[in-house]
Amino acid sequence: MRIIPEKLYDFCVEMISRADGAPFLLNFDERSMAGMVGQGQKGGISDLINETNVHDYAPVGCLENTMVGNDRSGTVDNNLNLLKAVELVLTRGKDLNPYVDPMTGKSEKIRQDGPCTGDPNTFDTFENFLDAFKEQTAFIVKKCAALYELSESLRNSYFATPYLSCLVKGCLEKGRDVTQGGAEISFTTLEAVTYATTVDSLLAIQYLVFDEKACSLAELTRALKDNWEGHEILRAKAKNRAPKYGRDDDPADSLARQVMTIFCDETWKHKTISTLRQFRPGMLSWNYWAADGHVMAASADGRQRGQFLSNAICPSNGADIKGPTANSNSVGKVLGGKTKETTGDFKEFINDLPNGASHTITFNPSILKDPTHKDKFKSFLKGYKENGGTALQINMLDPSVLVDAQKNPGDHRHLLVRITGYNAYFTSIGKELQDEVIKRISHGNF
Amino acid sequence: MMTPGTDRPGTDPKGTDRPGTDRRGIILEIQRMSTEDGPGLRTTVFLKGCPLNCRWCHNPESISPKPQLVWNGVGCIGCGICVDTCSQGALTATPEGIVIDRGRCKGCGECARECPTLSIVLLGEKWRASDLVNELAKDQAYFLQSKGGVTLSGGEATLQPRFTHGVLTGLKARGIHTALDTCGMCSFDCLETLLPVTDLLLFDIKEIDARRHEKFTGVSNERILDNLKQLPGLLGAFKTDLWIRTPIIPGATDREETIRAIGEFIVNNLEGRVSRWELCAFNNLGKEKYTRLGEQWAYGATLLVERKKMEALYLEAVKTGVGEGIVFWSGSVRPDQGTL
Repeated sequence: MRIIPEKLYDFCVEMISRADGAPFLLNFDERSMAGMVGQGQKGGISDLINETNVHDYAPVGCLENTMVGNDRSGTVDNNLNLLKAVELVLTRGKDLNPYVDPMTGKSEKIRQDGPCTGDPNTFDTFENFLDAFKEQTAFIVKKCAALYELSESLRNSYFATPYLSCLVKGCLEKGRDVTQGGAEISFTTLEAVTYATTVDSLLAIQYLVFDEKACSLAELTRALKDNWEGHEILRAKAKNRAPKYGRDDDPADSLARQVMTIFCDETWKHKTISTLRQFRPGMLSWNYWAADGHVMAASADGRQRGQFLSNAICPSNGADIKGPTANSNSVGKVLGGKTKETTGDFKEFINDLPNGASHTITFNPSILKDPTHKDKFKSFLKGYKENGGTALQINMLDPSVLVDAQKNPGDHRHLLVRITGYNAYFTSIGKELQDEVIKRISHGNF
Repeated sequence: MMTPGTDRPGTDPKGTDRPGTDRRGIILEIQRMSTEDGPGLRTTVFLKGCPLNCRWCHNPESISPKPQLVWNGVGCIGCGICVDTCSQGALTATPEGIVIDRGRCKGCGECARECPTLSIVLLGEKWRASDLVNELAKDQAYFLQSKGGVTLSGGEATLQPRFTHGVLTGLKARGIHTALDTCGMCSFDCLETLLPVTDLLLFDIKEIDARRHEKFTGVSNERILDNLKQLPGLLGAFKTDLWIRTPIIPGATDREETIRAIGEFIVNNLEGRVSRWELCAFNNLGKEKYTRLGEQWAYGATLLVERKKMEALYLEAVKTGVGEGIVFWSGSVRPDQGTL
């Protein structure tokens, strides 16, 4: 990325400005390569992925980084909702709400699923809570790995793909199919879903219960069980006053980094039993962040059941009130930030998610209104490669989002109006002028 | 992190008035990834307090140097905590929302610290210059890639000269490009102090006629124009770039003779020094801000400028001899006419 020709940058920016398909930008090579080399080290295969050959990596699927010719690592094999671990701490290892079968309408009895990590009301400090969260995360990661083993062992026994296996280095040499872990490089991936909602929930618990003492953990759990209904003031504090990930706020991002480390460390502890494939971490939520929002109970960040969860490595919807650069800086920080090296290459970067992390930012189309602004946008991409993640999708603000912001201003606090020397958020300018701004954007006039 | 609420005003430890100390200043907002306040990608800091009182000001909350309480009803859940919190009895819950008795409000911000929805906000937050520099440096990677940097805007930064000097000096020490957006209503000494640490001066010329200037802004422009006349020497010495900005306000500055007079002033006094002269179209989005401050805006019902008017004034500006590549116009025009 550092040596991408200007012409290619220009082409990308033109493509984005025409909005014919939102291109996924994947060429943040340095951060990606740092992740791949780290994966080689952690997976004990530095002979296969190292600084002499890592430039040969390529994305498969959507954005999942992989070596070429000898790599049959799985991606999106497992999709784990990290938020469950927060819930299990509050409930001592049980579902907060009983599971209701959507076909029969019958509700299941609540069981002791996870470990009992103690009565949360006896936690004196937030560190106690975080320790319990770590234990519950270890449990859900282990459970997810065990569940995956069922399908992995079936494929291992009954699902040989000889043609594919002929094309992937390692299978012939070992006499094992790709489905038997025959490829030279053969990881399987645990994708974390709902990262930001998990982090924001922990931040809210820290803020409301331990810092501000606005409520006890029991009261908070009650509010979540009630889906926040009847707890409007507490919910408003959770949504508005508690810190959030995605604002380049160092204390908040530092907790986010701890959550990242806990998830990654637990993931690296597992291998498939039947095929001995090492688990590696990634963050690619597909559409689970939308669907799971109906399954997961209300969360401590102020989200009600049924509302969307956060997507992949993105901040929670509307939480990035400090704009795209702050949002990107937070993403880069939680991936590990940078090293002290000044080699000018990937050694300056840390990336704990070798499989990649999906990141989407929505821009106001005025950012591309003329050549000067296109240049500024291009510079943003160049800054992103230094401070951001591995994969960036640019969305252009749809006027319908602004219409929704008129109705639900609390969910869209981040929308900024950009005019010379002027300073205001969209939700604060009044209905009449909001209508005017919507009209302008709808007609491509900014 | 910019936490909601604010420090109490007037709690500056003694001695911070001395130059060279880490002075505190009052700011309204830090806006990151600004694309309209100078070259490249910038972080714009809006300082609070302005010596002018322009009738058309779109940031009225930036005029008073004191913290000001506002209630923004869109997120309010009517919990009444603010009313109960206020020790001065300055807040009343009415069917139309929270009403602030500005005679009673002491600006302590206690209600803002308690409001669960951030609907009550005390505008104006005290920052130490060194803390602000650390916060602003967070986007250095984007500044470097875009040849951008930091713009101090307002309000009026020269009204807090030592704080401003501290921030600009701190930024320069880190190699960050600095821009100072000023109305020019300050002593020449102040400019002499700030220019060595300013890479770009964004200087407003709103009107040449002194009486009209006073009518529109509350002050005569004598000192502003004097400062401008003395500028060329300083600009050369410190290699500071100069941009002139002129707001195009319906019924006030949107006249060809105004633009002609400003153009002639530039040609006669700042020949070769101005690298950009920007005509900024009137922005009508300040209306709610006035309502929240309990004020009426003279321009509340004023329509945006027409596109053909902006184009005509642009041509007039070019004709004065300032130069085609130097004059630009920006901002929103009437909805069906788009912008440049």
